[in-house]
Amino acid sequence: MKKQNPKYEHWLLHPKTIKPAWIGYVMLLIVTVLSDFLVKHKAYFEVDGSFGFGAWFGLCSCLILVCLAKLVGFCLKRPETYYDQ
Amino acid sequence: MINELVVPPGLVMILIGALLPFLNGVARNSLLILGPLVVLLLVWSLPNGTLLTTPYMGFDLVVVHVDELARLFGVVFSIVAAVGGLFAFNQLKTSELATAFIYAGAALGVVFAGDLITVFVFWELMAIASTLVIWSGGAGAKAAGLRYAIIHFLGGVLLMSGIAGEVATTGSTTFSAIEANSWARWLILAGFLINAGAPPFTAWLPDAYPKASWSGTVFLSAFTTKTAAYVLMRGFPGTEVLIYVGLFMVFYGIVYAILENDMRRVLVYSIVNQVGFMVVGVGIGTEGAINGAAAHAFVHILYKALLLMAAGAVLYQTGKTKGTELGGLFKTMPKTMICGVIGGLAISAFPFTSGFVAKSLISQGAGEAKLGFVWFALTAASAGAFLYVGLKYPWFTFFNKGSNLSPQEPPASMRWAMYVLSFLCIIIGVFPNLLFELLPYPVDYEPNTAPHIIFQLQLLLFAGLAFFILLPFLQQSMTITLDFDWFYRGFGKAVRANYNAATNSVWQSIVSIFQTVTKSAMRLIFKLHGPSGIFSQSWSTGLMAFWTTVLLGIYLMVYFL
Repeated sequence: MKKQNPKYEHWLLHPKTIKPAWIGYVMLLIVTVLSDFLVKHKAYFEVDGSFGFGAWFGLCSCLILVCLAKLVGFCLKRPETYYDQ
Repeated sequence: MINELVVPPGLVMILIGALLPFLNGVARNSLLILGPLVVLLLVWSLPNGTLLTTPYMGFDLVVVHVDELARLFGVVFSIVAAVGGLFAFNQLKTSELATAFIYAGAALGVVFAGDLITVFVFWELMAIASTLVIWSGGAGAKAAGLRYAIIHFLGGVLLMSGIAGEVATTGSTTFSAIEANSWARWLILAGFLINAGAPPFTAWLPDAYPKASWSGTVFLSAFTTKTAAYVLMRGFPGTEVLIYVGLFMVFYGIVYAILENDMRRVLVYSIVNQVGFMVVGVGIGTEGAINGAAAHAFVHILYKALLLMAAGAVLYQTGKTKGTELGGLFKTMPKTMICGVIGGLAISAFPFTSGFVAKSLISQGAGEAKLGFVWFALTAASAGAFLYVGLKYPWFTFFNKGSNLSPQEPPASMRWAMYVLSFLCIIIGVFPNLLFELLPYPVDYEPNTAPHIIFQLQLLLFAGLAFFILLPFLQQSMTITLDFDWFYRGFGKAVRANYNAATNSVWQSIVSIFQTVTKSAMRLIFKLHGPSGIFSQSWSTGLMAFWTTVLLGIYLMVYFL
């Protein structure tokens, strides 16, 4: 195993990196949505070809899925030693 | 007809497995990689058609029947056996590798089987060999392996009953596309679905697979569920119920994976999710959807093996698999991290990866069949898959702060196995025709177009935004999530515990009532017969004469009345 200084922090984990990384990510999101002006989507059901559909549908799907998972977890989560007791 | 020139690929793989325990060192490792490559060449060289039959108890068993679908699965099974063999060079338990190769051979046996009896024989061999692979994981795998075996033998019983019913009603054992229109065929379908990880018996996957060793899980992830997807494609295309079964699996996999702490279990839940996509494709049943399901099975085997190799490499180097114990490994295991991320991007259908071209085919199948609900559900699930595998798995393993682990990269053989699979994931994504040419039906589809790539980037990058916004809510805890297996793992214990408590309280009440009654009875007897009791005293003659007179008087009165 490599010996490392416990105080050493990789540049990727440095607080100064986080803000530019967020700005870059948001810029990327904006670019992908604006790219919809340049292309014409093939739509099977009309709405899936509308402007920015992938963006809001992806975001909302994940928010709903995480809420659903939290609900299932609320009912069915147990300590990991549950079956060993 | 027995054609002596045709060698069944499955049998060759089984013989390689049987030979492994007799070899050591370089000879063993050479066979681990060269053996499956010979099988790959063999699969490649087989022409289409029924090539080998043998009579058995009045039936003609079709041991080798080749078509495009069988060849596709034969090719990918051979590839993953070879790369899995390379990954397992450092596995000291040759018994695990021997059973893993027999397991792979049995899966090839099912793939090239042309009749239901041959399917059944190899199906059961797969169950036995895969149980032995799980048991090679050590003492912790014993109980889970047993539960796995029980569920698979239950599946085997359903399948055998269905085959017997099918033979009794139709007289035929041919394995071709059939409709689920009789109880026998429903039993066959149920037997197939148990191996696919369909509800309600889904929990055998996350229960058993993560208990296998760092190398064993790679083999396990490739064969059982994908053989099940294969037999569904061959036997039950267009069976509508499979659309709903598949959609349940898709969302079950996502929800349970979001809640799971153990990273190898996250990846196993994602097998259910991904096989769900294939089952939906089979349920849609059009040529395009079957193409999609087959393509998805092919690429899934490769990227799931890659992901489990990355997780296996972390386990091999650190002995840990839980999100709460891992994190920050990208600093000392960057190569493993890159391979894990490529696998994560491929499973999330990121543009220019193998998953992108395969999932697109299934979605296109749903879109062209105008199944709106299915299309939107699959699209939502694609976004969800990026959340829990594409991001959650690498994040909690390689990036998240929290662990002070600084393990080295795994040995070269493990790294090279991951490089090969990473290469395949990308090359198929960039040149999809390499895969499309292997599919059972002609493909008229170009996935790498600007609108499609932009749509997918929007979907996935905004799923990523959801992940980072919700990250505080996604922190892992030392928990498990109860599943249907509670009915055979927890229900009995709960009944026993509550039965004891209930019977104890009833028994205590009975005992206390009995004690109260006997104590009062004893007190009464003591009062009457004790030293000062009325019955223990001697009576005077006069008193006795008085009472005798009273009794006789009463008797006389009663007599005259």
